[in-house]
Amino acid sequence: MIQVHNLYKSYGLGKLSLKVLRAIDLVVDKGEYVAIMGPSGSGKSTLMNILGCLDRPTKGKYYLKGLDVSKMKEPELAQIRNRTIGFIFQQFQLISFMSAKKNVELPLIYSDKPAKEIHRRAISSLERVGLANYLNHKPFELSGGQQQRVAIARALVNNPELLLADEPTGSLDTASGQVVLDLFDELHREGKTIIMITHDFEIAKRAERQVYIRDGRILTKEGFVR
Amino acid sequence: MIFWENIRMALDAIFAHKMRSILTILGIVIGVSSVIVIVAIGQGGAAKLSKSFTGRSNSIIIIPSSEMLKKSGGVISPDFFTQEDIQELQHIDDVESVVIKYFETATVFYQKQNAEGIMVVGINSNDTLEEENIEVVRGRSFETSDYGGNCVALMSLEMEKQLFKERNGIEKIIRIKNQPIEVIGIVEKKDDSLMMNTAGVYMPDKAWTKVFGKSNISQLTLRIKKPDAIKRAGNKAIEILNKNHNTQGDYEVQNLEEIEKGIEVVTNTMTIVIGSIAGISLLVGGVGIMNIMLVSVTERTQEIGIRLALGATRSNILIQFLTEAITLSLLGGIVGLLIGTGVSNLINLFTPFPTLVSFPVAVGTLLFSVILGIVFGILPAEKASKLDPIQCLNRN
Repeated sequence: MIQVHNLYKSYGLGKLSLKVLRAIDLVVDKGEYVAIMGPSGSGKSTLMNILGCLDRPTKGKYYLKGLDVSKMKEPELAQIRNRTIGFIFQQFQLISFMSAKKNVELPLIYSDKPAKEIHRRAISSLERVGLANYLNHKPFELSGGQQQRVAIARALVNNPELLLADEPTGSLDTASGQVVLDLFDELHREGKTIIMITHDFEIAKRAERQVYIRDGRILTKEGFVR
Repeated sequence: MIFWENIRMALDAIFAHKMRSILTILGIVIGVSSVIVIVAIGQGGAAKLSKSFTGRSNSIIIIPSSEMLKKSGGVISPDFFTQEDIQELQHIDDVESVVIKYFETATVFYQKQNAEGIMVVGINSNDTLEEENIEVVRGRSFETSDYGGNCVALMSLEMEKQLFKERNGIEKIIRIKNQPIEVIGIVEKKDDSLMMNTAGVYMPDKAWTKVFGKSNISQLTLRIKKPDAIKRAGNKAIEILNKNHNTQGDYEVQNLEEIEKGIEVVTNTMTIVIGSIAGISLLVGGVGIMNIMLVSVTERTQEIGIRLALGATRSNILIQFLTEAITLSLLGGIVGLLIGTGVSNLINLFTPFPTLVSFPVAVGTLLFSVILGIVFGILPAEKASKLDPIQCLNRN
């Protein structure tokens, strides 16, 4: 699913440039559930952004489903974000003036689906996360756990193969966090590839494999290619 | 992305921020409605102007040209329009009837009162009165027998005011050139918002000839059967007259050329004035939209980041914000059009100014609001589309 080879990311130019990621090698197979762990400032979020095609590496190769992402143009990247990747953020990132249903509809709108299908799939996706009764609620009318479930419904609605979750339980209480993690387990069993960022070891344990990152380098041997 | 989806998204965003949207379009609303009102007054005035010049019915007035008058020493000669001319003009296909008019200025006496320089008009039928929207307000109009040579006259309200302090001119005997004439009615030019009511006396043609001792026709009016035949009939009449008198270009159709030109000058001036007012007010409205849209983009960076992460392309974002700006200014245009039309109708009802909101003006204003939305929406939309998704998502 994912092959990252000798990837660098730095900000700024010349001697003053800040190297955030160095010589990253990472392989994630289809259907794997991987936790990326590391302290804040370790570069894990930057790695996540690159894996999510929101950012580009300074150097190195990134293959997603065998395609060289580093060579892609903006519209192609947008299409990958739309169809192949589902994002789940710590801060939920819902659009505040739109209802739960409209938020969930967004990825479908950007993939030019017919109106009827958009409507049907948004509802079934919200049903999936147990929010069938909250279609017309605005984010501020929902609890944190419910908001994160709306965000998961949104991430799933276009049926992507890869889920990228950046501290998905970071803003939730333990109980709501459990609901989210249970959902992840379920999705994993269904064959979704999941990459989750966390700094909480208990949470990371629920993934099949943990990748440690510190000062922009991957520590575990399991993450290396070969 | 689907066109309607963009409109829906724009409307969602507009209605989600109601207060801000209202304030945004306020400038456009005021601009458009004032333009509509001013144009409505202008067009109403122009329509009135041309109507009062060309008369209510389809008619054209033929006068001797200034060249002709110069040749004859400024006097209207009996040769200008002969009985044969009138016969022939009567036989043009499109002509319904020929109305003859005699003009002369004279001093009008009543006992010891007199009024100088009064236009005394001789007419050959009551059609002329109808033609010029002249109505009898007191007394009676001419009857067929009056055209047989009765020394009777109608006078305008203004004329009566000058001669009779008591406003009791009817059945009084006035004198013109020492000829006694009975006043049988007082007339007023209706529909006269242009204030062209002047002192004047109307007489049957035979009586006029008796008073002035001549029968020099000053002006012919041809009543035309259909409005679209006016030009054709006018040209035909001039051709006949020039042929009969062996002249070239001596006869002119008054209300085809001079009047049209006159109206054109008035409307052109009006258009320029309206245009500048419209331009300035709408410019201000447009800048308002740009301003708020720029603020809106800054405020909604998180939304933009989310959309980009979910698969929106940069052009999706550009089109979204552009659509929003266009929808806003079009909404402003529609509201402004409605208010402007309402106010125009009120002006029409409660003031003497006639107003007219024409279809092309309505469509034009809406079209202009759309253009305004594009022009002033492009900059904020561009700004929105160039944002970095990661920075947008990290904003809160």
